[in-house]
Amino acid sequence: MQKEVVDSMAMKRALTRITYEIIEQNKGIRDVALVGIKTRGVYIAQRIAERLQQLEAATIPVGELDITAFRDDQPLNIAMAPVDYQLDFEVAGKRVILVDDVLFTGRTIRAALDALMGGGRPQSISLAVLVDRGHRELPIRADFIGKNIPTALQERIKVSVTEVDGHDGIEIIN
Amino acid sequence: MNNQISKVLIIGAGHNDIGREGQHDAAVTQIGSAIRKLGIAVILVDNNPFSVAAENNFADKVYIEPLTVGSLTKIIQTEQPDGLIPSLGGIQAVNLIQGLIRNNVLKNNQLQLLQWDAEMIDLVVNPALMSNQLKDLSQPVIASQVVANQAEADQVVHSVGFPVIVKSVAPRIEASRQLCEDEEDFQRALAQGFKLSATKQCIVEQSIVGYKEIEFVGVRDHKGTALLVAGMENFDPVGIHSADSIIFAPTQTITDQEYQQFRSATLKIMQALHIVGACHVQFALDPTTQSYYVIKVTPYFDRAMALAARSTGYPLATIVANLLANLSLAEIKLPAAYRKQTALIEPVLDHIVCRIPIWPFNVLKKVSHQLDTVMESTGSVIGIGRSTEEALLKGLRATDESRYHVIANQPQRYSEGELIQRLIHPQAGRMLVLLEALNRGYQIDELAELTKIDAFYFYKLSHIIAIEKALRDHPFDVHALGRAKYFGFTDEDAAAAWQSTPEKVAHFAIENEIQATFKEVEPTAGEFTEQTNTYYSTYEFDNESTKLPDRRAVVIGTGANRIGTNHANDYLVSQLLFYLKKADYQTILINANPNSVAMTPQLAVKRYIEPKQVSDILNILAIEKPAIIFTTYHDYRLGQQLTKLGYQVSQINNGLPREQIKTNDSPAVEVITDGSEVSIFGISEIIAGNNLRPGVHGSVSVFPIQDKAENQAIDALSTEIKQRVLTFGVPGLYTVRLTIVDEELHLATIEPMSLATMALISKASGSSVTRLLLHVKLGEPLEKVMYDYPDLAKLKTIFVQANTFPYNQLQVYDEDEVTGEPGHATGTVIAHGETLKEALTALNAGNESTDF
Amino acid sequence: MADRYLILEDGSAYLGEGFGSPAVSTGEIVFNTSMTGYQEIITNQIYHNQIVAFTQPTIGSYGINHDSYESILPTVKGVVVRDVASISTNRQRRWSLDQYLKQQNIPGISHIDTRHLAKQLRASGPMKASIVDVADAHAFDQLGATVLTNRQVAAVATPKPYPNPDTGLNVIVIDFGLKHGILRELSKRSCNVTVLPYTATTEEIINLDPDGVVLSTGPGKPQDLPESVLTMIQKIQNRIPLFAIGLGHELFAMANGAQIMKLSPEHHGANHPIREVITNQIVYASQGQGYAVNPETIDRNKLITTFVDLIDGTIQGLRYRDFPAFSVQFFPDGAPGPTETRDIFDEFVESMQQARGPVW
Repeated sequence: MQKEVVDSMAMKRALTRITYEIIEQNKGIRDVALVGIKTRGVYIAQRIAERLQQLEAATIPVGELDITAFRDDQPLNIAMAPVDYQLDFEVAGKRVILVDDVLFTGRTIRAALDALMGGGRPQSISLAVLVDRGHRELPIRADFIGKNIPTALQERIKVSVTEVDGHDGIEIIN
Repeated sequence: MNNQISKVLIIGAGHNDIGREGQHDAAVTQIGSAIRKLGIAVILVDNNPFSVAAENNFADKVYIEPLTVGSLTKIIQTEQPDGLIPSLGGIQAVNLIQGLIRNNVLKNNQLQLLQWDAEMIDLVVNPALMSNQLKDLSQPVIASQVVANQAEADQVVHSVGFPVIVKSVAPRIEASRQLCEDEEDFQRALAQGFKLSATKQCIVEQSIVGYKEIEFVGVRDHKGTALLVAGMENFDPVGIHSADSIIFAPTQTITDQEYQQFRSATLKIMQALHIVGACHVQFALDPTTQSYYVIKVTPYFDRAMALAARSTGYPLATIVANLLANLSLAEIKLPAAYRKQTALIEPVLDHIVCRIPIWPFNVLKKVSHQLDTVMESTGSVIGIGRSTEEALLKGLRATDESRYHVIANQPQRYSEGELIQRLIHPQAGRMLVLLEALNRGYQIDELAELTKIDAFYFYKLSHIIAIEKALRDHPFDVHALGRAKYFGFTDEDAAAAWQSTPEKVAHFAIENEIQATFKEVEPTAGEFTEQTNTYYSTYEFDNESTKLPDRRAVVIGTGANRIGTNHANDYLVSQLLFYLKKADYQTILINANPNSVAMTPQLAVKRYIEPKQVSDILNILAIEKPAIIFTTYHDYRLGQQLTKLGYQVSQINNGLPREQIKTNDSPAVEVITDGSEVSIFGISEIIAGNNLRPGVHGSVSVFPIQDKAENQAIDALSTEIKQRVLTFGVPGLYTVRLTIVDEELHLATIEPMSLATMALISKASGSSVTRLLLHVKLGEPLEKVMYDYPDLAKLKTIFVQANTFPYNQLQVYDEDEVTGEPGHATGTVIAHGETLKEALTALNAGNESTDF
Repeated sequence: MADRYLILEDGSAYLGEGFGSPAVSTGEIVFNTSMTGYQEIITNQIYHNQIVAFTQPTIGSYGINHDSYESILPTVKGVVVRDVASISTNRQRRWSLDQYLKQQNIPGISHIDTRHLAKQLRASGPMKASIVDVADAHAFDQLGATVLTNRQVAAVATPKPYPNPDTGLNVIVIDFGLKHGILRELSKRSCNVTVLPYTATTEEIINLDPDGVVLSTGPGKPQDLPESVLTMIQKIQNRIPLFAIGLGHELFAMANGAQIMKLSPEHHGANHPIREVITNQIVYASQGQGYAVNPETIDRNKLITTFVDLIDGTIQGLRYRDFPAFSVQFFPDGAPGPTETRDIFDEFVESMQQARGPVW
């Protein structure tokens, strides 16, 4: 069973609100950099960056992070694989905003933090997610949340973005 | 979409027909020239000899070729265009594109479909797919099912009950929806539907007869910005084909909540289907509950888009041209007369437009006049005014019917029972019946119930009756006349009411300062200055139209598109405007046909959307004071009246061929004269229709004839021909018919060259004979007019041309009526070949089921 | 029907026919280009003390309906049309427009060349005008001598608080002469609404523990309102999510240091393209404004421009940089007009939810 809980209009609105909240909390966009977690987090980060550029007429660096290698729930040999620094800008001194589609156990984010820290010492790191579905296993919380969607553990949340899926929307699958 | 489009292919609409007036050709004319301005080359394929777009450099290259997948494939392979425009040739072009896609022609030639996703083609061709798509968008659609046989069809009726509508799936020609009230209707509709369907399927759907019918037109760009161009309302309820309905723009009786519901739905549908360009959505509104159904989504140019553009003054075609070249609505640069962001402003009106259908029944007398879901009108006219009454009266006047069709001041002979029958089962010209019922004291509620027409309109009709009565009761009363004119009456109306003459009434009106004023048709309701140079008359305080500078020529347009190659006359008018402008005249068109090609903004400097009653024309002439007026053969009497009043009138009398020719005929010589010299274009011949294929009603024209012996014989006669033409006198284009007596050619009759022959020669030579006609009419000598005209003797190709008829569409099967005479034609097809046989094969290609 | 005149401050007079109330009436005349929704427009309190001329020629064709009121009692000073539909039967009708205006003591005048009038007002800006029986020197003297009140908000806003209970978020609407569309949209989102008079103090608002505050639409010039309103806005905007509309938007801008300028001509319609800056999308919305925020006076360290009218360049939306407080000049509820901006109410609801934190 699939149920659309957020349509494209609402998703657009959520991204718009997150963008405004980023401006609110960072008192502007100085030193702000966005880092999207692959795959959909990257597109979400890009959309937030586009919005920030529309409002502030300034270019915001957007990086991509592939954290499959860092997950602590991956087999040991993968987790221990050597890490290349993945961003094409320096994180040192930046106010980094990590962007992902869904916040669930928190393990992905922890891995992303590891990867980021490997590249230097950011001024701060905060977290923006399109959906917070609960069920955290680590002490991690998001600073910017598009939509809180309470879920049962066995349910899945599917975020679709036009760039990958042909349309925008969020569905619950069980 | 690709930004780097450099050459586009346009598939034209083919021959005119019921439901296919000049609106497609008008769109091609405007879109073609707008695209060319963007530096993109335009290739046009059409087989309509009266296509204006196919002449005069509106396209970079024109192919007069059959509209078949085969012939289009060849053109695509030769030309290698990189963009294909799907929206300008009606449903037929969409069907052809489906064929091209299936044959991988687009893919193999890297030809990109513009405006639409490829899936759109299937949605347009197959209403059942569209219906499912709409359901996915949570848009309400009526219960509807595709059936492939009788048993399946019966099952649908079993569940929804009568009445139902039957439509053909993927019809090979534009096919109508058939309303079936009972088993008998149902059987007949299914039989015809299966026959027309390419897939041998029909759709059976629940009927919503009696609902209000609402039509919205929107535009959208590739970035997703979309806006509403116009919301229009049918006077007639669902159950009468929308093309056969009286339509008002803007909507007259729906609330803002209903209006916004339709606006949102229209934009949502365009968004979901990713349409780039314009889209027409038809809705049925349940007048009691506000709930609605989407009836039809039309993403290609149609009459509603033409009506929306003419009604609002929004430059729709130019804007669509820019959109399909991948510009956004915000980026479009319109001609200087418009404000910078006009493309982005949702049009608002401060006038009312009333569209009235035109019937073929004065010619085809045996056709049922019953109005239903099968389209029968051949065209439409619009009246524009500042009140519903004025718009309606002007619209009715523009149909050129007698005023007794307009105002029921004569007792009618219907019995009470007949009248009620006619109220419930409407027939063409129903306005008369409605007015009669009001005259007899029927109550408005009662009439609204019987006819399902909103009560609002009956108040308006009652008001018209009251004004007329006041007029009759007060002869030469300033107030009564002022009020009557304010609501759309004319000098002629007052003259009839006062048993006086229009001249006397006109004099009385002028003495009392009752004067027509003109207002601009523009899309911002006066909020901004826009110069559309399109005007309508009313009787108010402020006049906005002043005469154009310099030498002015008024061309009186064709108006209503009637049966009988009337569209040919529209082609003539368009050509006249085009060449008058080239000859440095400030051209002014008077016309009330929204689908007319002549209304294309590029053709005339200024347009008046007005009826053609003498007083209407005189109001315009009083402002413009033209150096010359052109009338065409429809308006011969009007031309004479204007001449009598002292205007310089050039009457062009080229019309239909004089007589019906059934068998192979002797040749005719086509000539032009300036009154003192004669030049011969060549020899034409009319051959019997069965040379084309069996079952053809009309005949086939051939030009030029390259029979050596015949040519020599005619050479020998040329001195005699020239003499006879000169004794005829008047400069113009003529056809000299010959007869064979004792195996020798002799001169028979001389008649003005028919419009069909003019188009035939123009297309064959690639150069317009209308230009020549205009210049000899303007008094120029033949040598100056003809010096650059192509030498037709060198033509290697033979052109053939045949009329198309509406017999099947109108379900005329009576032998006496199905004569194939030119007066019954609704369209014409042209083709060519190296030999006559080749030309005839080409003429038939793609037209295997055309009603020739 | 009786001959009547519409006379204008500049000395021009239009002969027409009276309908509605036979009263003589004076107000500022503006033109509205909306194609639909005459009832909503006539009952919108932004037109308090104004005479509204419709460019859409036929007005009144579907009567007066239950669900199209934007206020309980209309306070428009007159209705000017080309043609008024004299219907007395309709599928949803309560009253005809003529009957309704008679009941409400509002004069109407028809048979006016409203296109010419619109063009005249486009050139001159709004003027004082009267609907009178005789267009003589006396009438023009009277018109010239009439001083229109600048206490429009006090005249139309509620003097007392009233609730519109529901089970959702707790929203306070500050009433400057609100249009019902605002309440309708909040209702659809189950907001538990309390409407307070515009004189409500910060303390009174805070004491009701709102999740969000709406500053409503209303008539007149924002500068005519007491300074205390601006102080109230300054005090609550950084504590509670704030959504300001129309007059409320102008006040929000003023509270944050921007200046308000008179628009000439005034702008009333629903067909201008409005760009949402953040997404670069174009929307259409119902607009009715005699004033606009002067773009040069915006403190960019405080406010972000969120919507811009692409035709006249006016600011159509603002947002405070540091907290969820935002405003729109247009009417996001439509009524009448396009409905695509209604989701700004969703944005407001989501801001309130966000401010409250997750529910688990």
